[in-house]
Amino acid sequence: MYSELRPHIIRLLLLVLLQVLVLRQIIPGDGWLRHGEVILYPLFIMMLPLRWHAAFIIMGAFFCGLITDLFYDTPGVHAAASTLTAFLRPLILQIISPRSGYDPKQQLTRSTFGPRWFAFYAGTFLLVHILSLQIFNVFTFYYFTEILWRTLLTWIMSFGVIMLQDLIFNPKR
Amino acid sequence: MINLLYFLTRYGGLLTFLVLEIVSIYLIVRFNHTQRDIYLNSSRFYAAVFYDKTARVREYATLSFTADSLGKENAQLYNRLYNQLAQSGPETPLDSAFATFDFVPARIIKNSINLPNNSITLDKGERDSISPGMGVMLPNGVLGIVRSTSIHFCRVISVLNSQSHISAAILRNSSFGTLTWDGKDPGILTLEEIPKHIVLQKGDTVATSGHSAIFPAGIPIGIVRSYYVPSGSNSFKVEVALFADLSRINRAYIIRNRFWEEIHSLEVVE
Repeated sequence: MYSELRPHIIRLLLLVLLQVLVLRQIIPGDGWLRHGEVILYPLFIMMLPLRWHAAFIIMGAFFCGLITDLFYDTPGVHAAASTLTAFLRPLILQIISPRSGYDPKQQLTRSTFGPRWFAFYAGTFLLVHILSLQIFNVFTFYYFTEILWRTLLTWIMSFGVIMLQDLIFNPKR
Repeated sequence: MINLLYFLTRYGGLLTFLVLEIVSIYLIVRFNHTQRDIYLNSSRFYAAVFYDKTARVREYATLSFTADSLGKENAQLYNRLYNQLAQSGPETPLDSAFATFDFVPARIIKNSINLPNNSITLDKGERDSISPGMGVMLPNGVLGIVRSTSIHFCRVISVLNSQSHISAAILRNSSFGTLTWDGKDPGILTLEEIPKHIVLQKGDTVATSGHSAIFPAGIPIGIVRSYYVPSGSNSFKVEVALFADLSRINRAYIIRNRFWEEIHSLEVVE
């Protein structure tokens, strides 16, 4: 059990550290551009094994969001978005499922399903996560166009970073 | 029993989702407004120690920038001091027993500017006799007001926060109003309640008014960028462009007013 958990725990710690230490500081520019940010930690939820029970995945996602919240000073916002995205994960996987379907033993990576599939998966997943993140943030403030603009900007930046890290750390194929 | 197990595997995901989502939303509603400080008081210590460590590393990388801005600040202070001495003649040095304000240098260990309600953590706390209600200034602006303290740290409501209200005045004619933030551009504050009959000009300097016990008068804040009278209103809405770039600061001064308690108790009695 532990050997199966270990890579995910390490990934969680590294991603959250990277998120709160480095990525939190990134602001792309002045004026409107100020609202963009890089959200990378959903990669942890994305890569949880296929064969785990949905409840387990949702709990993992909630926990991941909660740690991020602790350092963002936004109690509940990231946790709520992560929980929602983790709940919708099977749906996203179903929409973009490859023709041969999934084997529960397969890992959800680019090398298993190909770059096109991975780009779709990461793109959809991030879109759901970031949109819900912005909506939960609005609990306090801001309006519709601002949500969409923030979502778009953040999505572009985060998607770019996720694809880049995948190219750097998994250069196979 | 079998049925229960079946039920859990079938709907376990949905149940977990609902429970945890409700917990998260509860957290959002409970802690993201006025009472977020309660949560922050318990968790802040660990997060603050963590940010303190990383701020040290970051600070090292920006040492030359910091030294540069401290040099400029010194030059400005010398300028003010010697010009004042030249005007008033050499006088007895100021006795610290008569000083009203007392400045405590602090390091900014956590800062944000792009949220709707920003706050800042500084590395001075109760141990340095910092208490809630004290003002925090920059060499070229105001930063906010201390909201809560722990032993080693304090949390500051930034001027970039919808709850921030700071008394400020147009330096040229000392008409004063309240400085607020509309949540959009972190370089622009709004000065409200300047009466309509006052003559304003673009480029007028805005500084603290000294009408509260929190900030001494005359800390520069910014310049008037534009102004207008909203329909149906009797006062100007003035857009103030800040002197300080709040995204690039790493040092601030906490202002202790020796008479704060006295003034405060008097104001409460009224």
